[in-house]
Amino acid sequence: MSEANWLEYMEFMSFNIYDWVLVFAGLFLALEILNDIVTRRFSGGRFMETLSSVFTQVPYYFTEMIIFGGAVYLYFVIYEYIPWQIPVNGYSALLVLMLADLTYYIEHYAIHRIRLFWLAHSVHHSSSDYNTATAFRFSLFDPMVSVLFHLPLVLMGFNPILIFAAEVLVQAYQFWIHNEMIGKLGPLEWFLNTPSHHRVHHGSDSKYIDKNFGGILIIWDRIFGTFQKEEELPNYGLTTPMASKNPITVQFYEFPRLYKDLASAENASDFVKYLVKPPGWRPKA
Amino acid sequence: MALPQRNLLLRGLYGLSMIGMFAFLIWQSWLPFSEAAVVAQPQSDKPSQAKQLSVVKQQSSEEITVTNQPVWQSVFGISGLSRKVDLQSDVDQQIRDHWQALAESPLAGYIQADKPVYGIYRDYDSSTNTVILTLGIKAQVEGMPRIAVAEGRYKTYRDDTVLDVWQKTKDSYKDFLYQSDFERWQLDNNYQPVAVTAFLGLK
Repeated sequence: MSEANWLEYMEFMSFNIYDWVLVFAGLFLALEILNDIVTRRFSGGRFMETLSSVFTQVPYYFTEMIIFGGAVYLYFVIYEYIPWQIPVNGYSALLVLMLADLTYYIEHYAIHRIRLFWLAHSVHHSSSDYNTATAFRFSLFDPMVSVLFHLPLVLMGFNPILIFAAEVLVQAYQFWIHNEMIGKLGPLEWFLNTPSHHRVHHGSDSKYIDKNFGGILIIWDRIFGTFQKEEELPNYGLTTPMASKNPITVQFYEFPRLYKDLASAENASDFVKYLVKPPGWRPKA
Repeated sequence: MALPQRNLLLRGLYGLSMIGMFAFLIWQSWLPFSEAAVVAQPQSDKPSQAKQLSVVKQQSSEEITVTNQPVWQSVFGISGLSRKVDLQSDVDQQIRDHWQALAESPLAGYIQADKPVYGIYRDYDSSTNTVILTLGIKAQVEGMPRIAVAEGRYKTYRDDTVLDVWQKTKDSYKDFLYQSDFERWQLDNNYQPVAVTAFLGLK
């Protein structure tokens, strides 16, 4: 295939997969709710939590459209100036997918470990229930961080269409791993991110905090020492639980908490550290 | 480690849906390979009016050596369909439409799997940002207009279309003539394009 054909194929294929995954996610969620009803686990609060998670897509979608549009423009402007543009073919498409997955790991690690970024990503973790709706639960600020972390791939010379396609595929993968319906998957657990690995990631138990950041592959966690296998079912949510279903509270729960910490900073150094150090950081007494 | 209680039937249905999703997505992703964007109709699908036309003359050889060095190309013509391509709007769609038009034209009956299909880009108009694209074959087909590729030195680009190369080489545009750049599409036995080479005329 020519370069143009590869680009067209990757763009079509990635967005087509994403669109279909959303349709299937609706089916999975319906089956999970049905299972809740049949097993008498269903409650009004749990259902509201699910609705609350799904609703976060509305503001997220609007910012995603704007940010994505800007990112397309920015990436192509930069790409035009890259003298070492990498040829577009099946090999480079596969390579960029691997690198985008590694980028996802790095980005994911950073948004957990840098308080300013956690401000946005904490929305995804704030639910104490865990089902496919959690995969929809995002902050309206989430898309901004992603644009920054994928910039190095443009600078490496990859065509922006390949980068966006890879990013979309890594994102699409996340929809099948947010559930309590699937147990462990044998040998797949060695190298793929699975529902079991991702339940650990959403755990607020001390041994599960800041583990399993991988997107598609779990090998990054195994390599960089952030892997934790699921030993018992996690307690989901934040270490300081957030019970509200109010869409505004869900979106901005961490904001007043950060503001309070920043206001308490006694000097500029502490102020900056509150922004860039991990959540929970406190100045030494 | 125990997961929350799951109904056996729903659990099975969930698992099957998950496997079904992956199978479906793989099938969906493979589809464009089997339905290549550029379609050349098999001979069995020849339009009936094709029979009214006759091949007058077949070129003896259609081999063009592809090297990294510029090649000398003697003049040759193709019988083909032409259309104006607006480079400011959806170019891919316009080209797809044109290939479809070729596949539905009487010319489709004369396309052979072992003979390439050519696309010639000519009469580029910078004021309107348009170019004329002619798709066709070397065989002379009665009733079909002939379009010639000018004699001269051409630089070859394997696995690229002319428009790809124009995009890539826009910084060195002074080296090129933009008179009758062309691309050669090689077909497989199912009349699907398997390889393309672009040829850009050098000054």
